[in-house]
Amino acid sequence: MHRRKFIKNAASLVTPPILLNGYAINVLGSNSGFSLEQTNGRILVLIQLDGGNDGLNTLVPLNMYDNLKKVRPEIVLPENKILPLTDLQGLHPSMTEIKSLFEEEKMMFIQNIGYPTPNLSHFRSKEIVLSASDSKTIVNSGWFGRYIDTIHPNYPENYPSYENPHPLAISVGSSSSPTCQGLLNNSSVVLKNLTSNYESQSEEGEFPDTPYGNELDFVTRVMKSTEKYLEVVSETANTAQLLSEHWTDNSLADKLKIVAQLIAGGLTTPLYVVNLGGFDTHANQVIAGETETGKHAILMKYVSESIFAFQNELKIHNKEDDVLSLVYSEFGRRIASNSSSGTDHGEAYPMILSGSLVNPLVFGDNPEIPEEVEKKTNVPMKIDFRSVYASILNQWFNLSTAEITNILLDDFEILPILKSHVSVDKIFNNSNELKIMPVFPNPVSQNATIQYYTNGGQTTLILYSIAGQKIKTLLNAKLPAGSHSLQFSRNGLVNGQYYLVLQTQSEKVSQSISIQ
Amino acid sequence: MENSKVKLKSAVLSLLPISGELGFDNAKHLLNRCMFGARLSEIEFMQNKTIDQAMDYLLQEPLQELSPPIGVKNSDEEIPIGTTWVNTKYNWIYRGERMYSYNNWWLGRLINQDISLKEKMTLFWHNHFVIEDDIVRNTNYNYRYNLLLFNKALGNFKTLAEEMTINVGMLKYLDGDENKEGAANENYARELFELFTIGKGPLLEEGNYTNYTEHDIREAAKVLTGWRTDKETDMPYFTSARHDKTQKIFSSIYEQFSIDNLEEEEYKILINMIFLQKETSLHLVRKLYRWFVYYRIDNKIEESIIEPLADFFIANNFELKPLLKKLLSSEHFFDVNIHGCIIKNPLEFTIGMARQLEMNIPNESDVMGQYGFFNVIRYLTKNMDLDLGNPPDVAGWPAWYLSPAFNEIWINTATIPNRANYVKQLISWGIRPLSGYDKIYIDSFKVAYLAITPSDINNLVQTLATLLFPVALSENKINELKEILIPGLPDFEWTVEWNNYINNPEDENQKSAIEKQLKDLLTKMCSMAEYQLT
Repeated sequence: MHRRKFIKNAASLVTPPILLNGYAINVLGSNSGFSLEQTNGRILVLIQLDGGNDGLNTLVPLNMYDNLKKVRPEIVLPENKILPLTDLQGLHPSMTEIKSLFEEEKMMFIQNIGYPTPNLSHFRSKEIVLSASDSKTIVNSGWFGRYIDTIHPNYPENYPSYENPHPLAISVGSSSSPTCQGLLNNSSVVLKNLTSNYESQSEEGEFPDTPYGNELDFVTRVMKSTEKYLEVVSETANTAQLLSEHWTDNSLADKLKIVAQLIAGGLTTPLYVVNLGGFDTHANQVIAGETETGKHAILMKYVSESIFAFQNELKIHNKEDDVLSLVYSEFGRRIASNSSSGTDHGEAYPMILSGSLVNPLVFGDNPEIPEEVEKKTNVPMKIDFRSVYASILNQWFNLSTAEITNILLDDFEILPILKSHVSVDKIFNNSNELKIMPVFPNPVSQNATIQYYTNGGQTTLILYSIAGQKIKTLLNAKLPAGSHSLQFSRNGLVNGQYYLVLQTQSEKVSQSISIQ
Repeated sequence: MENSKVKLKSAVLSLLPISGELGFDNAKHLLNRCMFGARLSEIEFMQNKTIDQAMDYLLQEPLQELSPPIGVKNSDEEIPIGTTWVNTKYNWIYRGERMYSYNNWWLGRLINQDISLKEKMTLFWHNHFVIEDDIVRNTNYNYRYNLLLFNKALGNFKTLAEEMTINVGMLKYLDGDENKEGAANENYARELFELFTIGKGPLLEEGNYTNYTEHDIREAAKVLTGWRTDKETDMPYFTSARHDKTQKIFSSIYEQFSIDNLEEEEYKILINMIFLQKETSLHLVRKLYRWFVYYRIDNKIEESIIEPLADFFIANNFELKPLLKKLLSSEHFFDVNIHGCIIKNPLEFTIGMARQLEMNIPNESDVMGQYGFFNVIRYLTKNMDLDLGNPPDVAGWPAWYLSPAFNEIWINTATIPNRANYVKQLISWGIRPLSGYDKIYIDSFKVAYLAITPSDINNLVQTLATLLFPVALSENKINELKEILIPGLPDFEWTVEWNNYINNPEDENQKSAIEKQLKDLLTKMCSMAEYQLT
């Protein structure tokens, strides 16, 4: 893993620093750092399987095979075709490439992923999974969107910029993923393909030679040019070529090719979201008599081949250690098969992580499959999907547990998702650096939590207006060294941009805060 | 721009009226061009009418007079909330309150409009006989200007030109009220020729604009001397002592036409003189063509459409109804190559979207809330470069006259994000009419119920697509839209989810999940390039 180096005060090259009591303040928050430092040059790829993936036919609990035969006779996989992964688990016959990756220690499976009070509606469950909310609460932002809010509170004002030239997130497809929805804005750039030449993007017949076609052409061109990131994305893409021989053609592979090319070209965007649909296999999940074939088999082949080629491409360009991929779904499927050679909506299922630094094992016990089940019985959850998000934020992106709690709205167990020599605990608690963490939520409408680290002694935290006037002293106390937090209430302050200045005997740092 | 060199399919050059029932597509085309966004119920009402019947509806005069603007601010100490100020003496101290009232009264009319050409034509005339609120600065005058436009919007062009010449708003705006004998002010006279009637032609030699000369402007200014505005009565009045009584002789373009002193009747003679020129009719017809049909006028259009219409206009003594009927009934207007070729002006975009997506506006009884709501829409429209009441200058908005881009001028890297944000404003962020009020949003379920069977995803998406877009979408685009409702899922899953919501109305989570999908769909549809066209 390598870090990029950025010049600390690069901001002053673009926007003149505002001087507050003679101390130059980066409007973006001087110690919120730049996007790269926050995410350490690391990248997360979210591979979303739309429709609800049948976990029991993906990662097969071998010790339950006899019961599986009894409860889902129409769709159970032929025992001799299942790919052995470990003593206890096997893979769908399509997943030969994933099996290889597991042998190369680049795959991890986490069993029995779900959430309390499961919701079997596609829309609602997906909403829960993308917003990381409780099943009974409606949260209108995406989990990664909230993370981006903490490190880029002013997006999209002044983006892209010298310090943040690359998109903060990319949704590959034709609309932005709700995962990237922040409190106000969706920070993902939508990319359907990489052709930089506008002309060649038009479909055959998209702009007919009629007055309507002419005007549509014009409007589309202006819309594209307002996409501020278009240039940097296409420039980046043009510096790299796909070199792996293992790429195939399918809709998931096509999207991962785009992701690979951008990563290979040096794009530092920390999040990509790609989707593969078709997993809602209520009927004809398999072909009767040859259950290793059929719809699900084809889809799992796409997943397997694409991830294999993707990893290979990353390796060729020396980017493997920078990328972690997560494969997930809105829910799993029913234990019992139905009368249409398919399965209905279910609950828990296994998530899959891939990458050169993942912990190469199957985490969690096999689900219990009784020899008789009711039509409605589902695999119960044992691990909350939010634990996986928390683990990614903690170990992949180096956030503290306090920061993670803010983003995921609650505490979740951290799982060992990376190889042990790689895991790096957030060093926040051991730092002797004076620091104010980015305020959450920001902008503040009523209250917010301010977390800071003081190196001890008399510590003040003062709120200033954008013009440098002292508004309020929030803290003036002698404190031991360490991390602290305080609750901030707007209490009649007018909307606008303010600064927090944290000061001890020897040092002073600042953080911007916006009230709306 | 390369645009004007692109060879495009052209519309049939026939002014013959179309026959038979309009059908859905033609009804949609007609109503979208004649109004500010056509609602589904309005299109369905019109689709089985013939063009004659449709034009009768569109050209009919309203049964009741317009209700005047009312005071909605406590800070206006003279005007109790809910009462009008139009017959009180203008008090500049309350200019802010009165402007707020006037501007939002006007915008509210556009949202509340019935099937009628009146409001679209009122805007046309506002863009033609321009005054700017910020310059006139007297809401009593603004109101009387607006009333003239609205009342005469479908009347007689020549009469309108006459009445506009002595309208208090116009007299103030173009200094007509300062134009007096010995100190002629040419402002109005110039614009009368250049913009309001015959239009400027190529410069043949210094001072000669083909259709009139500088000399004609000076003589016209003399004709127009003597008029003033009375701030007590808000009426124009003529003072003989201020009037230039010399003989006015015009250029050879007008065959040295002369006007002897006729005091306050002279201006009518002047106007008559200008209207005798065919170019006056041609000029207006071209403007109407660009407003209703398409901005490109080549030689063929000039010959086969503009010229015959101008002759027809003259033969009908400058009556607008027959002219509009002839243009808007024609095979040319309804030709498939004219569908969707106009970029929506900001009001067509903002008002249109609110109407098409059936937005609930505050109740009539809540005048403050109503006007507050209109004010937000008006402000958002202003950000798209159309400030209702304040064209950038006397020539009107450049989208309607500046060649070669014309209405492409509405679309640039600054206005596109504003249009995109407006979509989010109505669907996701909500509009707060006034502080203390709840936000108002588009009700996505109300929109979904525009479809006959909203549980059928194909019916739902097709209904909305045919309502919102002027030209049918490709199958790919329709599938992209379906994909937003049911990402990666088969069609029947929409039915399952929808029915789950219908059968469990107390399940807030299910309702919220469906609502989110609908919002995403509507946001996408109104953010597409296709939605910018009408």
